[in-house]
Amino acid sequence: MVVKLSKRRVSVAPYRAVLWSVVAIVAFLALIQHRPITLEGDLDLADGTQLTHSTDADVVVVVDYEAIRQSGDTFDTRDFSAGWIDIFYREIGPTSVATPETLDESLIENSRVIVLTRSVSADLPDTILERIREEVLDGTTVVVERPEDRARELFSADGDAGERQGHEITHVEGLGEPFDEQLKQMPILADYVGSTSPRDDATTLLAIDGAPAVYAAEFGDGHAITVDFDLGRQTVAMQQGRPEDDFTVTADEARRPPTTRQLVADDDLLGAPVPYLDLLNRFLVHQVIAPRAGIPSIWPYPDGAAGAVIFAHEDWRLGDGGSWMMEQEQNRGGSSTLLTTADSGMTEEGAHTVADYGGQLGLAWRIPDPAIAHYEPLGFGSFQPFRRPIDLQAQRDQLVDAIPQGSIGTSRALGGVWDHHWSTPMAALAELGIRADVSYEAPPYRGFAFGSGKPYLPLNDEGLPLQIRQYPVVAPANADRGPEIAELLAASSKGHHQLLTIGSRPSWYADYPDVDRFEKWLALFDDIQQHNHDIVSVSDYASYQRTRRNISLRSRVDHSEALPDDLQTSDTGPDHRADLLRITADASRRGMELMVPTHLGDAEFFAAVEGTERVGDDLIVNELETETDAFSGIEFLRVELERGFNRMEFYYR
Amino acid sequence: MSRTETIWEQMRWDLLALLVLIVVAGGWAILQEPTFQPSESPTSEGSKPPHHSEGDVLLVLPTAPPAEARDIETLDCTFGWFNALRQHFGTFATTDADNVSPQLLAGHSVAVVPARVASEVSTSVREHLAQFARNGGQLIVEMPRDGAWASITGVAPGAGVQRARSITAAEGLGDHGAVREHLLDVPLAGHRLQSPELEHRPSGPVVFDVEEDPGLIAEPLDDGMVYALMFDFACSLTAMYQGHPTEDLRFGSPDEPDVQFLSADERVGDEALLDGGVPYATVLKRALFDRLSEPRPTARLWPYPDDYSGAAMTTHPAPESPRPAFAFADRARKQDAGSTIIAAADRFTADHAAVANQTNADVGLLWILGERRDPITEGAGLGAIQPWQRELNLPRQHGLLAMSLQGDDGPRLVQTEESMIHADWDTTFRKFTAAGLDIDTSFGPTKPDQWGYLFGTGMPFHPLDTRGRPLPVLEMPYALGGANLTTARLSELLEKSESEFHQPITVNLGADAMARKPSVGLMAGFRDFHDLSRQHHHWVTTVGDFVDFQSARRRSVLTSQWSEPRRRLTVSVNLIGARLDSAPDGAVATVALPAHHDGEPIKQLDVDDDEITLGEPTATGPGDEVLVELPPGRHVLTVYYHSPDDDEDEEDDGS
Repeated sequence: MVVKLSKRRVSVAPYRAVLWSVVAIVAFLALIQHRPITLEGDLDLADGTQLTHSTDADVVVVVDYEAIRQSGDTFDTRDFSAGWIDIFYREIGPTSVATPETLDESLIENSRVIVLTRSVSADLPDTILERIREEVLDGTTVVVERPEDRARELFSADGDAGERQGHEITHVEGLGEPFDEQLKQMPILADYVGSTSPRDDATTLLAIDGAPAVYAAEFGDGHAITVDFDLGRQTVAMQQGRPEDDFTVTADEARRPPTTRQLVADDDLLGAPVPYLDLLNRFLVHQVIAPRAGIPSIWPYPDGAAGAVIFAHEDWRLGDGGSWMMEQEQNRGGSSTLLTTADSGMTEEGAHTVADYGGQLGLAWRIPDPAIAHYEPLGFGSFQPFRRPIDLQAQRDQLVDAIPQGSIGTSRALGGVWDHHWSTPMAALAELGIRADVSYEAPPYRGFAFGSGKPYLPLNDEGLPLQIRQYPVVAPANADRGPEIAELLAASSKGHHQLLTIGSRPSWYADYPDVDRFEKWLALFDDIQQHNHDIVSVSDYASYQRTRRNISLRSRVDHSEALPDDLQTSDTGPDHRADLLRITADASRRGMELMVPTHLGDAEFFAAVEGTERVGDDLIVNELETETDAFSGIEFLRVELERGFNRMEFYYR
Repeated sequence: MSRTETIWEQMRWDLLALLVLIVVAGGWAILQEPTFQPSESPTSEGSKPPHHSEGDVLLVLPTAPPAEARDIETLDCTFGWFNALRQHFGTFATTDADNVSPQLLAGHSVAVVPARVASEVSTSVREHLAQFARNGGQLIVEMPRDGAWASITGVAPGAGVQRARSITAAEGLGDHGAVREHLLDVPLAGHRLQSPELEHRPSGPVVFDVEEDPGLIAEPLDDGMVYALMFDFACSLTAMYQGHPTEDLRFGSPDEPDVQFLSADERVGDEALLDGGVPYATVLKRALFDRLSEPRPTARLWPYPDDYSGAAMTTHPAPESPRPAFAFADRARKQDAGSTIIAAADRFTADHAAVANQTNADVGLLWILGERRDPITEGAGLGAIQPWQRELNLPRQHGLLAMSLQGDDGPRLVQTEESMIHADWDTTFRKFTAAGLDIDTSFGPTKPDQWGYLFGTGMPFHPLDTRGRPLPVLEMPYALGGANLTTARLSELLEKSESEFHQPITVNLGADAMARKPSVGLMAGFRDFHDLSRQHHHWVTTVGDFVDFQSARRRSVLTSQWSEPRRRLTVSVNLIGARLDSAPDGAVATVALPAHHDGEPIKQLDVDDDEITLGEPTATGPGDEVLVELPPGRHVLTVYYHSPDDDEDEEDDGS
């Protein structure tokens, strides 16, 4: 018998399955260790602030935050009345801010100018409106923005032509050359309200497309000034940029985040040598309101400087060496700001060097966008299969850890790279306690692409202010077009009186140590000095502005007051009377100056005195020295303030 | 019957596939992290340079080759004299001691006998040298420890030999210039001979003391003069130039014997050299060589063309991208000057070479050691599979850079990465020599608080090997680096160079200077470099051009005869010029003549039988020198000095 041997097979399928499953898992783990899975980053955002502020000031701006919230959800429908607040902070200094709820009798009675923004013009209770009317009759000035119903009936033209898209400014009253023509070049980004006929007793001060857009009428002893165009939107669109209607920002390149360049509201603003928004605001406040109301302001720069320059040094690779340019700034009597990334290599020693130079250290941050973010690995021990963008807080904390003595209050978006959402970065920064951001710029152009060089309070999507200020960069680091810095300085000293933020990259010289560029930079200091501009850091500038906003400043106008004997001449007879503007100011530091209108209505400035003293039987007046200057073509008087309490009297005939 | 197949048997193909996967994965991992293989560079030895037969100054060399030294005290520093004479006189003659004869000596006016020759020379040669001095020649004898020299030098040294550390008195110098001011700070090396106490000049023969014993003694011998150096003059110079080693001719801490590389400034043996604008080696040389114009005027070839007071050069090492170096080079071009970019071979392409050409920049080799940046490597393996990365040694790096430069023999100038030098006496220089490199610029200050002439001089010198033989490569130290450059320091160096020391000043400004330690002072210093150099009458040139000029100077010939009765110096020269980018009309060494003899100025100067107008003397020290610019070729200068009798005669005529 033949025995045939055959192999019996045990099923290996389960073992094979296990083996190759293990292999697949190991391969997968190796793959994700080599190419980690990217997790989304997220940002904590601050809510907008319902800013109210009652202070010793002549001006109160009234906003209704609830009405603002209830306005439309798109950029075109959102109420940006809160944009008015910063206008007066910047132009006057001390300003009260109230809501319909906080606008009490004291504020109404004691304010010399009451600004009723669009948000309240429609829904202000009649009792308050009536009370305001009484004060206006008694000498207060009211400013109404696109009023409705009773407010329009009281103070403005009929508005029956409705809202129209504005195109160009066609008339400007009282602004000298070349500023009037400059203002007419400003792109119009907002609607105006047309009327079937102008108000009979009103003077048109600014017209858009031939229609009165800003006009003023005498109202008893006071004045009613109507701003019949959307100044809030014009301001916000210009200085903060105009996003898409859903508040998103479109990038130039696909799959890359946008830059702040994409926020520029109008291409005509690229390379603009004129700060249009400032010009408009100054016209409104100093040409329209101040002479009628007879209110003073505080000069925006300390020690009589014509303007200021901030050098914003951005660095991501030199670490401690990033502060090298600050030595020159210190040698020239100034200070500056170094904005460095968390991973640049900045150490405690480097932070001390910055402090030794009198400078300020800030954070250059990267938006956690996949295209440009830096990532931190996540995992278990050495197995790190995930990665997450290093968010803003981590970047801030990493830098703060390197400089344990300090804190970070200023920031900049590295390379001007922004988020796809209009206000998200500023809300995120505000949430972290950052109070100044220096990101808005429009390379390769120098100039006022955002309407001004001065910082402003940005608004969020709801139209509410965020607790941070944005400092536009007038001369970006990589700009090669638009007005030269020397031209901007000259124009600033001759009338625009600007803050010029100049971007620079200390690492340029590491890549290409160009002596010509170095010499140009050194020569810039002579230019700055020649044009009487201070060289300051962001924190120095912000500190002065805070002091300026918090100064106690009050005024009162009395008509037909008797001139002191010492001021009486044959020309002042026979009655020797004049309109008297009394001003009190309590300055907490030296170097502050007062700006006083040269005219009070039709009366022209005559003399100013600072108190009287008795010499024997005579009362001698201490005549004040005043200097006439111009602010974007608008003349005013400049008077130095002593530290402490100041009382002055200005006579107009 | 049936046999059950095991699971392993059934899964054999799966396991095989798994093994293949593991091998592939492992191979891939190895390729991601190849193994580094360091390399060594070949070395070469020093050698005696060929003899020059003509020259006013004759250096007598030992006939027998030197022994290997164990430390600086046993090093044969004879060729330290070679460096000193080359730097000061430019051209000189050499001969072996065995060849010394009256006929040979007759063609020279100064004979230098280094220490080793002085101790080994035969009686007959010694007598020839003594007769040479008696006949009016000037004889310099270093360390005459053999008592037989006593009758020639006028001093009998004691039996003991001590260490020489410093010069302790200098009244015998007579003048009160920069040499006397700084001579006491000069650090010495080697030994000294003790001798009986002697008076300082003018009442005695001592010029200066070393450790309170006579250091330099000047004794007339009939019509001539004999200078006895009672200390290791040449070793003192060599220790300043090349560094003062500790044991076994090594540098660095003895507790760290395994350290392979040190920064060049760690070779400096004395703190006095670490900061300041005084080239102490030059001071020491001048303390001796300036004496040669006292008994009779001694001419030399000025170290610079025309009447320049010194020279100014820049070098720019670029361990990474050379782009920043082009910014420096372009600035130099705009200032009508050249510069030298010292590039890493793996970062410099043919395109970069074209840009260097456009910016008039020479290109040298930055030898990457892998100490502060990744080494330069090439893959090694089989085809595309290269699991090893082999470091390129110096010759390979040289070859790689030469390929980018195209059309040239390759760079002739080198600098080491971060100025890192082998921690021993000569290995680095021997590697340069083996690689065919001519000039090294690694020596200089690298730290912020160091600056100036750390190696005693700005002039180039040949490093000596452990047998004392000179290596063909020239070391050209720099005085300021990126870490320590400021306008104030640059100004001080240039001022002192113009008025006193006449040095070549090289600024070594790294391409990465503004990345590593950026400062306003650094940019301002570089910005001011060319203007300041020209304001201080320095020749703005490149290292390569300067070395080429020195080579032409060395190949030129100068001899002279002096007639005391007629107070006439006859100088015969054969001047070799060099055509250089920084001197397109040609650079020819200027003849430097003492402006005074015995306190009396030059009365008349004829060149090739034509009387010429004398220019203002250039201040070089106690005697000052008149510089006479001449075209290349043979010339005879006849210089007549006033005599004190001329003044009396004039007074008599006047009365």
